[in-house]
Amino acid sequence: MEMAENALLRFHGVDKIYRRGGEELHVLAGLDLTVGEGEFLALMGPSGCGKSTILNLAGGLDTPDAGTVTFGQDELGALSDSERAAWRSRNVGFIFQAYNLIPVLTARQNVALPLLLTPLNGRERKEQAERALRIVGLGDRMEHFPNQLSGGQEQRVAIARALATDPRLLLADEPTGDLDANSAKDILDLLQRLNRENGKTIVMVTHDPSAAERAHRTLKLDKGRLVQSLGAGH
Amino acid sequence: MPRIPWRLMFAHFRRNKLRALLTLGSVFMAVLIFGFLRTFIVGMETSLAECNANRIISASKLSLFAHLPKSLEPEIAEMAAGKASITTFTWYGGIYIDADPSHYWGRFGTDPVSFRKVYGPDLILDDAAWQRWAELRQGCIIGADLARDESLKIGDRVHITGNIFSGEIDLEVVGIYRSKVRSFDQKTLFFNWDYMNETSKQAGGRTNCVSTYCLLLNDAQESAALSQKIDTAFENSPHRTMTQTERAFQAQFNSMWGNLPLFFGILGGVVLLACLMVTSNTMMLNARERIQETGVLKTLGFTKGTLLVLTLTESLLLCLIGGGLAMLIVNAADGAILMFVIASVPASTIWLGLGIAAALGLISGLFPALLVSRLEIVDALRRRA
Repeated sequence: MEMAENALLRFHGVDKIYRRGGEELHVLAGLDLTVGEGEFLALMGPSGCGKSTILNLAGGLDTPDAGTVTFGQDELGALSDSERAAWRSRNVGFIFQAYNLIPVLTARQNVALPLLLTPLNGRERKEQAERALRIVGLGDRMEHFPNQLSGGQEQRVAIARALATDPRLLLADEPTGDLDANSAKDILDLLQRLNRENGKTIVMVTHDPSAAERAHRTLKLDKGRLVQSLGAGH
Repeated sequence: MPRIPWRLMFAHFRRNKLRALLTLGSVFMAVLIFGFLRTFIVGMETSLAECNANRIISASKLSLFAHLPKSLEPEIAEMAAGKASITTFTWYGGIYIDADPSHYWGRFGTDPVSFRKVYGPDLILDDAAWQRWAELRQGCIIGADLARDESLKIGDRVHITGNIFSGEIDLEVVGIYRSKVRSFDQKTLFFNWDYMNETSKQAGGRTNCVSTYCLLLNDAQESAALSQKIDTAFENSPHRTMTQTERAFQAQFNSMWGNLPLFFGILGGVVLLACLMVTSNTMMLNARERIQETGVLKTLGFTKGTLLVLTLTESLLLCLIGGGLAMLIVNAADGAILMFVIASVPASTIWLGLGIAAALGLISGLFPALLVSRLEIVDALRRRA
């Protein structure tokens, strides 16, 4: 991929420091990173190396202590909280390891939740949520509650929710971490399909080398710095 | 203006049905208690406000429960000649059916003809019924509420066994009155004093006594002078009187309960405070249970303001439903008798009850709403329920 030409996401000289009880923990130090439009990027590394922090910064959930994070032409650090929330709802879909579905809502209602932040009316939101669920192969589980679904199915609902607003960027934090091998394979197949067929840019954090093999590029981090970059099929 | 995920709020109610019902129930009980306490106090105040300024009551100076001899009537009537009409009330007491408190309502011996002159203007009762009562020695009239509660109708017999007076009285309902004023309740029975006196005499009980003399003045300006004249006349007799306006008499009757407004005010305040603690605790528990969910909603793009409104509305709605149900019941009690006081439920009580419910909802929802709105997304997502 020619990342410099069609960069969607750029980290430039990013520092992130967590402060806990007077102690400072430098999670990221001078990180430079570019993710191209339509790229599938995997982030690997030991626990605490800053993988999830990169996702949080990329999704505007957190702001850097130094440096800039740019999405297209938007510098995320320059946006206010509410502007960042609006930007997030338009541009980013999140997939969590623990699915993070709302247990009191059905699969369709969970998927329709982010659509409340769009101009769509009730009927359009319902249709869009059903379309997203069909894309992930859950057209027959729309009225099921999360506790009536398997782990793999819950993660599919979470992916449908992430897709519902048709964002350009999908951020996946260990999406197969809580799944058995078969379900994990299905989810990775789905992510790969979304990247290839729908052109979604995906940044995925994983500990699993076989999951990382699905990505175009894998970046390995250690102590807040990039230590290795591997191409597809590495 | 972003849309608010109201469906989520109702889904939470469904998920924690028992918790939602218990919270709603605590608000319901607190507002219900407040509503009835206020209804009782307003009822007392209303009955005082609607007392007839032209009426004065003469009772024993010793106690409201001491009798006066019937023989005082001609003397008082003479003093009031040309200035007022006079009648008597005699509290009969007695037992109707059994000693159950539900059958314990007012029963007074009086004279039908003079009663009509003094209290007729306050009552709605047709001429035929007044006539029939005056003619039938064992006739009685009853209030509409009493007729409803005891399932009595015209022509029914009412059998009461005396306890203050001796003997047993057997009455026939000849009329059912309605009251035009709140100072005169609709849950009382009036019957012929002569019949009462004769029955008691035959059974060897007390005779020739009355509880109060009631006078309807032609001119309210005469009230003070006539009251003083009556009391002075019996000052040195064994039956000293205390004559006062109907309002003062009613206030004296009410004062038997002590300083109820203060007592009820403290009681109501304590109940509402306890309820506030219960609802605050529940709302905070809800918010803490949903910290990760809050993180997810913020991740999806819902703003601090949206989540603040959602949390506050959940608390407000729960309390308003509880308070609203309580106020429906309080409103239904309008006109009922609460411990000898006619319940009065003005619109201000309903609005105050709803206002208190809303205040409970807003105050108990405020801290959870602030907690939810101020949560950092990253911190919220790290916490699993």
